[in-house]
Amino acid sequence: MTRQTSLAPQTPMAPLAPLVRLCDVGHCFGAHRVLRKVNFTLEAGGCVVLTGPSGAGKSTLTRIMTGLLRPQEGIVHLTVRRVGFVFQEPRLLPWRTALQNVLLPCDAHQPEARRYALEMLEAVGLGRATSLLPGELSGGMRQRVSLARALAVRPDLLILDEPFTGLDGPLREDMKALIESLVGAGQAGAAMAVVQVAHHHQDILSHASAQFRLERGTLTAVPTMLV
Amino acid sequence: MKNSLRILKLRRRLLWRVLGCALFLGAWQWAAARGGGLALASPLETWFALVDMAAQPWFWTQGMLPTLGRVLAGFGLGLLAGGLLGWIAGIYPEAALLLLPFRWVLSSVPGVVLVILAMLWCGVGSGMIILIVALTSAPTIYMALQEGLGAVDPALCEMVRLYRVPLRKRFTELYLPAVAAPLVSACVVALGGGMRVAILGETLGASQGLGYTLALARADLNTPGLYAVALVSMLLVSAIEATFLRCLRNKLCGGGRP
Repeated sequence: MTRQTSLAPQTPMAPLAPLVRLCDVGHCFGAHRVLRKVNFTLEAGGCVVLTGPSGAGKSTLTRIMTGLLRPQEGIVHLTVRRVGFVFQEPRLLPWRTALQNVLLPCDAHQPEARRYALEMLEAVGLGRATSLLPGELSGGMRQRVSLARALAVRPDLLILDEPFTGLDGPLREDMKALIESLVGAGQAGAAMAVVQVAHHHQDILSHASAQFRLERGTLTAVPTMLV
Repeated sequence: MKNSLRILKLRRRLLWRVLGCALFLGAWQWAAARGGGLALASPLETWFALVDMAAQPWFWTQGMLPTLGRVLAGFGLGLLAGGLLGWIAGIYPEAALLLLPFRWVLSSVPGVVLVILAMLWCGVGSGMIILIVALTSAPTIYMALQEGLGAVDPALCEMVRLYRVPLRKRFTELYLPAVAAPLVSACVVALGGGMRVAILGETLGASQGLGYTLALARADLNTPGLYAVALVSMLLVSAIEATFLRCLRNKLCGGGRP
């Protein structure tokens, strides 16, 4: 039995409910079971890391957290209002400039949204590349545009789904340092929660407060001293 | 430096184009000189016939304008119907299956059969020509849109869903630019095909238009006149392509730079 609830924005007096609460969530793709009895809670401002081998269901779990996928079993409680998502590949509109891509989820006619989008592009080091098309940017620059787009919506949940995939050594390090500086400095709001999907241990953000491992569809918490 | 290289490249392209035209005209002249007579008018004879026709007001009012109006009206209807149904079929695969027999019949029936059927349904005149142009244009537009939408990157579709991009913005920012290139190409093909069936329809059953002018030239055994009408129809399609379709292409495929 699945129930998916999207709660109304909370009043300042109301106690803070978790942004994401998954109870006994299970999901299959055909005969292949991807998730089984997953329980997970994410509070506002939290930063957790999801690790696990390829095909373990990490991306499926993040899609459930964002409401993109409705699981076949279990209960999902989402109070997330705005999600920022940095996918494995940048997913930019090839016919739109860097700025227009960042403005895509925002109201482009609002001067404030435009100003903030420019600020985010500046923050990721692309202040001089706002009018370039994705085809004119390098792989690392495209991924930074994707990060700027995710932050431009002022998300209360930021999901980083292996954002370093396809980037080589120095670019990988640069991108990780950039994310750590932006997310750690509360660039997009102090209450923003972060879920990072990581394949390699060295990619894990330094300020991650908890780590979970997903293997054969089962989610287990990794003891803090190992994080 | 960069500019002069660009100019050099443009000049070279122009030279090849001019050479291509000269080669075509040379081959035409050579064929007309060897086996001319009634079968093939020379380029010069065709040119004189064209100038002669263009000097007469009836050619514009009774020949060119009616054909242009019919082709544009039929093409507009085909674009509307094919575009709407193609959009639906691109989003809902069940609709594509439902419409498959209609698409298959319309795209495989020979133009002349369509003309005769349209004459039976609508009688002789503008209505019949507009109908056949619409019926031949619609499947081409339909297929371009259906397949273009099917080829839109699912990863981008998921991204706009995740960011809850409003439907109108999804249409203008994602789907329309994604289908622009196949849609404009389909418009060019549909317009050329529409002009062909329009002239065929006018030749068989109309008292105005380029096809009717063609029928008169055939009856008078006026071979240069026949070639001149063919040339005018080609020029008409090229003019529409160079104006309306170029605007459409620039608007839809022009990229995002302000």
